[in-house]
Amino acid sequence: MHGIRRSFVDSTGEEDLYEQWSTETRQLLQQRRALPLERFLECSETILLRNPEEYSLWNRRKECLIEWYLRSKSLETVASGTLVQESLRERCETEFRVTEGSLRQNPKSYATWAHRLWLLRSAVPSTATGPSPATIQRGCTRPPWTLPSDYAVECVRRELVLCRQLISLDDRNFLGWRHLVEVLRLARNAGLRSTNEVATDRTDSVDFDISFLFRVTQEVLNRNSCNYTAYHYRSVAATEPDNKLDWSLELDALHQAMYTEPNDQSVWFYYHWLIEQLSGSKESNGATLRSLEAEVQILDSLLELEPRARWALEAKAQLLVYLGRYQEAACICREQLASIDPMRKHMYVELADQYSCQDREP
Amino acid sequence: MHSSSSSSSSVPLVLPRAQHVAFLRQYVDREVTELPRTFELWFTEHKKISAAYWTITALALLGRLDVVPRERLVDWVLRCQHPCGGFGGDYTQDPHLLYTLSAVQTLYLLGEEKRLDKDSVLRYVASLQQADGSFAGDVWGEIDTRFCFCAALTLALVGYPLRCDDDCLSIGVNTDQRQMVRIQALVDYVMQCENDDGGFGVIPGAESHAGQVFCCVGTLALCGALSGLRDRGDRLARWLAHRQLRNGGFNGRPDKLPDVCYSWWVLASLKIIGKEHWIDGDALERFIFACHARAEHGNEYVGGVADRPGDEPDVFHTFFGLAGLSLLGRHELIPIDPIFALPQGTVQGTRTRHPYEIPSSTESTAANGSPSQSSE
Ligand SMILES: [Zn+2]
Repeated sequence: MHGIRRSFVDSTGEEDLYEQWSTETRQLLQQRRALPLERFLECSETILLRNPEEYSLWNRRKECLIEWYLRSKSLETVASGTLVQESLRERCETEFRVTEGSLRQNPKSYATWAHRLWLLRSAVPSTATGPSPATIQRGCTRPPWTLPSDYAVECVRRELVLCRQLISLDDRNFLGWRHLVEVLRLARNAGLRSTNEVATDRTDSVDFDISFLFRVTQEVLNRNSCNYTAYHYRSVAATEPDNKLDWSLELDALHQAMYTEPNDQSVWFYYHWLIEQLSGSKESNGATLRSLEAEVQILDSLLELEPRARWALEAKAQLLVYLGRYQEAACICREQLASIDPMRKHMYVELADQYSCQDREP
Repeated sequence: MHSSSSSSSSVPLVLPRAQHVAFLRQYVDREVTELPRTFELWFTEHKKISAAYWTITALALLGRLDVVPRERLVDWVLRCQHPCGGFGGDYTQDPHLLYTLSAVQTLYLLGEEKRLDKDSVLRYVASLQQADGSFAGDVWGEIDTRFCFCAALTLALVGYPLRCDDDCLSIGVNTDQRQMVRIQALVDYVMQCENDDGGFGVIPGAESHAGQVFCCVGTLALCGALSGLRDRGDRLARWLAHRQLRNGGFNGRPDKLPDVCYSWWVLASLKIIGKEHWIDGDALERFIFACHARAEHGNEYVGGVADRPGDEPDVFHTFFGLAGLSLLGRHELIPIDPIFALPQGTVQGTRTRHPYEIPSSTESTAANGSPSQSSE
């Protein structure tokens, strides 16, 4: 259990409630394959809103959809074909509604995000010849149907909007960010494009590509420049082929943040990442060295103001390593970091030894 | 021994063994069908088998497996297995890799692995490997590096050879099933989840998280693939070492609050890569003690450990708190294995079949240096 303060008050009323809730859950679990479909969907919704981690109930909801779909398909005629499609859409909408309700209460529910992603996998046309209906009914990694593309576009769009919203409520929610990345990959695999052309307000537009991930990270960083998650996803997005990152702008923004928040490690993580990219860049060797030297100077002026800023010292040591100035890097680790940050002194001493050794190697 | 009169900061670090055992016994003494009367028990109903594993492993670390109602527990665990070979979180729940691992760990801990149909477990695990080498948690295809670890450790426990070299064949599992799991593909997938900061995330490209780090490093260790880590593990070790905060506790990601469960995820990961001396063990010990539940009035420990000081204790954090102290080698707890998460004695046999190696880090093998292959 996380974040539950210790309480010494009598909680007799609550105890009865948990007993009652468990009785209901256990009953439903026991009857889950015997109950009529609509009845099960109704009952499980109530219980899943209480505890979304009751994964077997989500599983049964999937089975219900599949059973219904295979049955409808087998009875389908040319005339009823559209009806099946319409009801499928309705049934999917129910799942999206229930899971959204659950996520708004429990944005960190693994099982709920997984249920949603399972539904969304049907946005990608299935290429393989599917397994037999009997196998499918025992479970399948994607639904046995493919969503019509206009509906798939609508679903992806809603998903991205939901992720952005949940991230704005908790900008470190790693399951929300993960979902966002997965949905973007899924849209790419399905070849889906957003239909933003009609949107008039540009801030509301949702692109189904990496620019959307950039945008969400930017929104988060505009509110607070210390967010490890946002920097991480920026670094991931920047390595995608169609990225639109301006490296010098990124560095400028970081220099600002380094001065205002010298003790926040998220800023420094991204800085480490940027200088690593810089040191390995395909620019001419001379230009790279000059940029790295310039960064050392920037850090030196920061360290004049804050001589014990350990993240700045670590970054400087790293820069010196890239510049081949191993002894100076070793010295920072051994003489300064080991005493400023004694909890990790063995680490700094070991790193210093390594740098010294590297110096001896040609 | 308990100085109930002193102020909270000066409570001596004496492990309240009897209180912990009493706290844990509340869980094992219940009938599995008994209705829950606390939030914790209600909320963990779907993963009762994992809760059972945490409880009895915690008792094992305290050297008190004797209080476990063994027969009743084993019967119930076996009842949770499905015809497909996987185990559910309870016998009413669907099979899943998370609970399959907990079930297998429980049976090994109790020395009742003879009663396990190992071939069916192996078939179940193998059926969940995906084309890209990853493992789904169950038939519905949820992907998460946690499941890679569940698969690898379950396989290791039932004796499936996880290494490519051929001297591990005489295991007793049907050899025709040997090729069912693609080990190299699993390793490749896990390495795709490695980030530039050295950590690992839930899927490729996802943010580093100490829990996922443990799962990925554990998987690589079991597959003999730790040498693929960036900078021979130094980058990861650095990220892990920075998880320790001023109060001694570890967080799971930068800028998050400390939590006792990361004592395990972080320290076990460091231990696996031979860098456990990169953190401050004394400070961690003090933090774990600060998370021990206290009486309402006075300072004495009442048994159980919470996620953070002042929170409600639960069996999950009690296990991870004790496991952390055991990894630190303190308070005469039974030593725990950093990969198998079981007492070292329990897994000794399995361990020799799966020698895992640590990338030979620089010359600095201090007194507390790397636990290398010398144990084979
Ligand atoms: Zn925790």
